[in-house]
Amino acid sequence: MLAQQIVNAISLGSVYALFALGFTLVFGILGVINLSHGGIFMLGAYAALLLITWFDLPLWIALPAAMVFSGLVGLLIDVLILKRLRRRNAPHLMPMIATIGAAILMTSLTQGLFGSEARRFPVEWFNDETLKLGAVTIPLLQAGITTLSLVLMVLMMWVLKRTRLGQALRAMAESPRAAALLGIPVERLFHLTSFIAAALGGTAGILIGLSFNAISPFMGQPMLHKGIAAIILGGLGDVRGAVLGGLFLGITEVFAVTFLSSEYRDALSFGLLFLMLLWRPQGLFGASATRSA
Amino acid sequence: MLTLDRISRRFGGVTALDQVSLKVPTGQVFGLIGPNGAGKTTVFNLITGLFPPSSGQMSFQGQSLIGLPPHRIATRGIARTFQNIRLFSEMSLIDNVIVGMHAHLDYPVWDAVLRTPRFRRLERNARVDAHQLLQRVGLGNLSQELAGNLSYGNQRKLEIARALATQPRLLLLDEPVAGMNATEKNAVMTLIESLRQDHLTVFMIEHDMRFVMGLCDTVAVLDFGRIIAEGSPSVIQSNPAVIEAYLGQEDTAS
Amino acid sequence: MDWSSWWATYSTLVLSIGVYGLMALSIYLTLSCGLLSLANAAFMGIGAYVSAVSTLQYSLSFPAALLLGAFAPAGVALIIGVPVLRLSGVYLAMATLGFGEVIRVVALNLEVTGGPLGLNGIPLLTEWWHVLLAVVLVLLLLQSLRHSRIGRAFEAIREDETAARLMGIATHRIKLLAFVLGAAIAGLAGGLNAHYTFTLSPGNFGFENAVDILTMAVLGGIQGLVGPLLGGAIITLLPELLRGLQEFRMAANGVILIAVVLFLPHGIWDPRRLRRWLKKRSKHADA
Repeated sequence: MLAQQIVNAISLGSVYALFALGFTLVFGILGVINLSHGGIFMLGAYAALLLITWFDLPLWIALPAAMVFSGLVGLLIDVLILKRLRRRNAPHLMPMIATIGAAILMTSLTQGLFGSEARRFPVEWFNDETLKLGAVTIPLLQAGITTLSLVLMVLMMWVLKRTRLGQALRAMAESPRAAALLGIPVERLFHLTSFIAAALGGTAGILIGLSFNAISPFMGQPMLHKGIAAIILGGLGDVRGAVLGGLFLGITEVFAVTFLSSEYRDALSFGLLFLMLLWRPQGLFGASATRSA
Repeated sequence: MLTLDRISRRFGGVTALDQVSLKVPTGQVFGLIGPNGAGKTTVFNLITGLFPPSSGQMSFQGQSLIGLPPHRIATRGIARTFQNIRLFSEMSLIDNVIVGMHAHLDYPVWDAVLRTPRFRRLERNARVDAHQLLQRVGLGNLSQELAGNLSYGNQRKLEIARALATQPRLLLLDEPVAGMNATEKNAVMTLIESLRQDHLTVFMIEHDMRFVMGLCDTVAVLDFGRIIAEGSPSVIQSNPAVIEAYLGQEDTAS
Repeated sequence: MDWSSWWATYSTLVLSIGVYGLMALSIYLTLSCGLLSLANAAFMGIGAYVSAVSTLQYSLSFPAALLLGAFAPAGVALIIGVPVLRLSGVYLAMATLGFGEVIRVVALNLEVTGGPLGLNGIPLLTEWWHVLLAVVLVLLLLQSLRHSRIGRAFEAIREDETAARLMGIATHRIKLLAFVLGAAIAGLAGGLNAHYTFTLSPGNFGFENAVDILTMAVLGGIQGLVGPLLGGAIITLLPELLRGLQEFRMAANGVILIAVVLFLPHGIWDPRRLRRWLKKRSKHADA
């Protein structure tokens, strides 16, 4: 029983972490709180759903296609909105408001086109195969979800830490102007970051959609709140922090539901968030409290 | 008046200031010169409390400055201008100067909310004083203009007026005549002379040798974070180490 | 339609224009000091709950309940302000959003706030002139602060915090003042709001509300006190005005937000642009 819950906790936590990772990438590198990240999360889930139900595509095609689709949505937001704001050096609140506008637009259009009620993947489409690891039985689907999000996360962290691209992105997080002086194609990498971040967010949406098998236009908002909580817990703008924050949040939720009651699910994690705000408002790994990026 | 005793400051692994000791005597105009990147502005940043020294002691009028936040140091009587001008560019000239009076314009919030006679009197006086300060630096006719619309030279003058508004006993000027033409430089020179007459102590960083040598009572030379010479302008000008480090290089450059 | 039936239909809307005007002014206060704080919706919620519980369960008089509703969030702001205001820019925005979530979840789980169902049957005590009086008083307060050392310190901090500190301004105290005062105004607005809506629930003061309030200030413009009031009125009326679009009403809302940010960066009420425009006009008239 406990082992089973641990598996559930890691599974949920890893998807949260994936979402938070995309969120924090944009925050750290573009210096933007992208409040449409939840909307992109929702669109990712819808894209996968439609590809599977309308076009009868198998998951291994639908999943990457939906990832790319969400990435493109992020890119579109960057090119149409964020780029203009960067150009005129707009104050921080501007991209926040514009992206909330984009989020409202996405939610509302989805609601208008597909209705407010939750939609599901076709039942016959799920198989009930399981993996047996000692005493623990893991549905194959859950194992796949967890593996995919962990792999994507490790891959992203490896790229950021070990590659030249990652080095350039880290330089941009420090100071885009200095990075530009070093010959880094800052504008292109802003686009790339927006694409990757949105693709990660969309993937999280697909995976949450698969694991709960319920997709609605309003699923983005609560996820955005969790993303915010995760990156504050872990450390503002810090990639490791976002991942740990996301994992932690998922684990707290599962255990709060298991051992206390479902009412305490949010209370516990947000209580911790509050203590963190008082103790270290920059979060666990946030180094510079005063950076005003 | 101001004493720096073996002050060091490291940034990461880089030593920006290495055991710097200085004494700025009351009533003097004291100059600090040195090549670019020698650490001159760092000295001002340490004195005004923007960051703490890694080691060493600093005192102003016999009281230690270590650990005091910048606004406390300002109210103790140290004011400064900035090498890269930092005015409140969307505020009018006169408001810039009145911001400088903040600490002395000491009415409680309730006076402002209730518009008490005391509030009105203090605000009126502040406006008159601010106008006088603007006139003193030669900007009297521009008091309602936005600071951001001023020419470079006038912005430097406004910074001096704003610093004077804090009623300092020690005025730190970071390259007060950089980017100015000859007429403007002369005006600033006259201004600093008049401040000296008012018994204000002035500590300035400046690259313009004619300006420094013409005004300063004492000049110190900073090179690679160390003081390599200190003395009267004539002594400094004939010091071979200084010529080597700085003056010679400056001569060939200009 | 005669007056009384018009009022019966639209009173909530009219009162909301005033209450959200107050909210926009409260966020204007922190923005004018350079603080991108999004805690105001949460402060409004604290004020609403505290004053509603005061009248509902402790039978306090309405003025006393409103006062408590303003003081309670101010007290909370004082406590969290000290650590949180060390952050600046987007970091502060993020932390205050997090704080808002905390307050929402607390309201969701406490017994005294009625949990997820919220509070019902709050006495309808708010009269139109209460709201008007509150708006006028807050306007007078902010106007006199603007033209005092405090208001100049706000502006100085917004423009260049370091320079402001070196001018002898105790910046952390001034920022805390703006934060706490903003919280008190939001709490007052919350108290007024609770006593004409009859019900309160945690969802009323969450993230959407925080963003709505910020949007009001940005849409109206924060160059003066007129902008926030105007923005508050527009955002409050928008759902009514866009009623014809039905399910795509919210989409229009989103488009408007994006358009404002892209094309009206200083908001609708921009005295400087207005002045320039008037100058141009008078020049044309002269010629």
